Amino acid sequence: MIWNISWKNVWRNKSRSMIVVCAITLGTTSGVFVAGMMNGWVDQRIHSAIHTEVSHIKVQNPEYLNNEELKHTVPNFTEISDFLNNSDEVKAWTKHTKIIAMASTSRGSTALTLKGININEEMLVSDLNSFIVDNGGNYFESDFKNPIVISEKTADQLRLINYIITQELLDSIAKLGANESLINSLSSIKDKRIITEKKFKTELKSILKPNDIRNFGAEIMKLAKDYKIRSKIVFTFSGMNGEMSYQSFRVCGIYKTNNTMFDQFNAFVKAEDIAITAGFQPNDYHEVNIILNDDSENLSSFKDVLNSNFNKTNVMTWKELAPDAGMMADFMTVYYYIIMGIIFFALAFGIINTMLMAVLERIKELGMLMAIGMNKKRVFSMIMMETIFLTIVGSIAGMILAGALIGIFGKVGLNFSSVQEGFEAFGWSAMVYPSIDISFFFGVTVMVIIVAILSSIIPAQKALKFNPVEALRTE
Amino acid sequence: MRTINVLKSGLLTVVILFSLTTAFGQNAKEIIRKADEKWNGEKSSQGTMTMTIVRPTWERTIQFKIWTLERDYSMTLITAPAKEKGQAFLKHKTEMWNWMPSISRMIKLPPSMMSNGWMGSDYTNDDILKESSIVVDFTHKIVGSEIIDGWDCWKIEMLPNEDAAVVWGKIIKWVSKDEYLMMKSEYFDEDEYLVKTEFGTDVKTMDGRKITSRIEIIPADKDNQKTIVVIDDIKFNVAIQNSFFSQQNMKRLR
Repeated sequence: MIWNISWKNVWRNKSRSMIVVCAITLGTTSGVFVAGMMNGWVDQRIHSAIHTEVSHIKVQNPEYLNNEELKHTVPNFTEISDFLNNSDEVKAWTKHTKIIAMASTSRGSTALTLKGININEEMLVSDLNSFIVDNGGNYFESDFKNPIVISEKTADQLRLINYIITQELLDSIAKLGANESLINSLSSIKDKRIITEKKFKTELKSILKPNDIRNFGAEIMKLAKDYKIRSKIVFTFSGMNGEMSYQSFRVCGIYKTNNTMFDQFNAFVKAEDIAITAGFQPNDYHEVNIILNDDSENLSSFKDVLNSNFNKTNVMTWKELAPDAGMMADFMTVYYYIIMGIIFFALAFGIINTMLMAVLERIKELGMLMAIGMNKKRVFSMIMMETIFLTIVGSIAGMILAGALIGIFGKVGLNFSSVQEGFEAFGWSAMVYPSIDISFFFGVTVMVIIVAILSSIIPAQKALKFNPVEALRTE
Repeated sequence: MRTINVLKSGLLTVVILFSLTTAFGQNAKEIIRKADEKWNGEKSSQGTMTMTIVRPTWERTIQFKIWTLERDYSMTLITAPAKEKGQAFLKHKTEMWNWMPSISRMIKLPPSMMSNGWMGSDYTNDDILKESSIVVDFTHKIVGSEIIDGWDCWKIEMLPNEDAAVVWGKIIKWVSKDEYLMMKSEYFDEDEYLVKTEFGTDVKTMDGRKITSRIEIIPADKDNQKTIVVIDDIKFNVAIQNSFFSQQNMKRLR
């Protein structure tokens, strides 16, 4: 009965109710969508932290953490290896040797962590092989001696990315609708090798019209990029015995992940290629990386098992190894609710305002209802119900809208490439695929009801204070 | 009798021809080895040098004393400018230490510093440590002879061996036919683009032997940038002991 009256009351002044409903719809949509976006982002970051960068659990020599010297290899390696092979909880595992080395080419040099890997095992633990850039070679498929996979960032620092205007580039630019004069001016530097991005840009600026650069600049930059696969990189490092060693590798593939920090320091070679120069014995490894069957539940318990079985080692989970992602994983849900809370707090004032107006407009009517015997409890719940209906309608519409948006963009992805560099410096992808857990919608619904109840208190109290006799007399 | 004579002279020609061809073939390596030994082959040496670093916006000059013993040891002491005075570098085989008097610290140069320019010049620490590899790590070929600065030179092409830890794709050196002086070297990357050129000029007689007393390094793709090293004086085969090349001594050097 009361429900019915409340529902009808909501729609007596349609335009006013619709304004509040719209406000709540927009608020909920934006809140849920932002939460979905951040959630998608965090999920991607966690996925890449685990599956590209650090794996679930890493075993190291505790000394290696203090001093990254080659002699601090993982103790009891054979026992650990047996244990992991026989464990049901382990999905895959692999081992690395790790050398901090100086890489140099004839034109550049940079410091790198050279990871010696076992390719077949590595592909089960890390998905790095899927990050090889276009025209950037392959993941250890070439058959030349001493292959190495480096990042695009490293290639840039070592000057292994050149820029060349080729015939194919001219053809594809022509297909995109470039005019004759643009093609002609590009042809003037055809087949000329330019060794840095900066010089190439200056060159382009000097021969092209500003208008052409605006239309085709990005495309030309992309197509002119020429990765120098098979180039030689010479590495200098202190070997096992502390003496300076040198070894040369040839670029086999170039990768690019979403994490510039990771890219900047990691290069991968076959463990057997580096072992002799560095002086490693067969069971000398610096880290053991483990991927577990189930994602989070048995993470810490498995860590404890490893810790108690191999007390000379240091065992760390991905939450410790990539603390940014670990923290996000733990606190993000709270954070989403805080965002929703702030939005609803602001909306509550709007709701209170509207409900106060609705009450003050109906003084006479409320007086009448009370005069014919409607008790205070009922008046109160009628007004509370009105508020709840008003809010729920808005927020359900908002959630449906946000759900649809998340669904669409979850497939298509949101592109933040204009600010890509800033994001990737922190390991965050510039392409975001929003996603949200279904439980979040229930949480939001509960929140909405609480907000509605709280914001109905003031208008309802106002209504209860009316004296039926006086109220009846107002015009 | 005559036949024997013919045979003899014929044999002689063959021998001469043979030795000439081997002189051309195998001796490219020999020439480089001799040129290399001109610098590094002496038992010991002691000298003072001046290095000028030229950059587009600034220029600075560093003076230093240098002591060497065989190939394994060398010691360098900076004597000017005042800011760097007293800094010493000790090289033993493939390792290098740096004594910094301003902070009273001895630093063993890690691999990460090897590719940095020595004192900000176009010489890298790596160049200083790995000098000898121009003989071992390359295959050499005489590709002609040219006159540089009035010196008749062999033009020698050096290609690195497949696995050698050499960043260059090719080096061409001009070595004078007399005295085995390295008059000019060109360093190329793997695509055969010029990276840097090294000139040896001002041939002078110092301590009884002829050397190029001025060495100039010019990077190819950097405008107005070069490094010049001038040898002010040098003595060879001076009396010097292994014990001179110690970390304690680095701190005492004047």
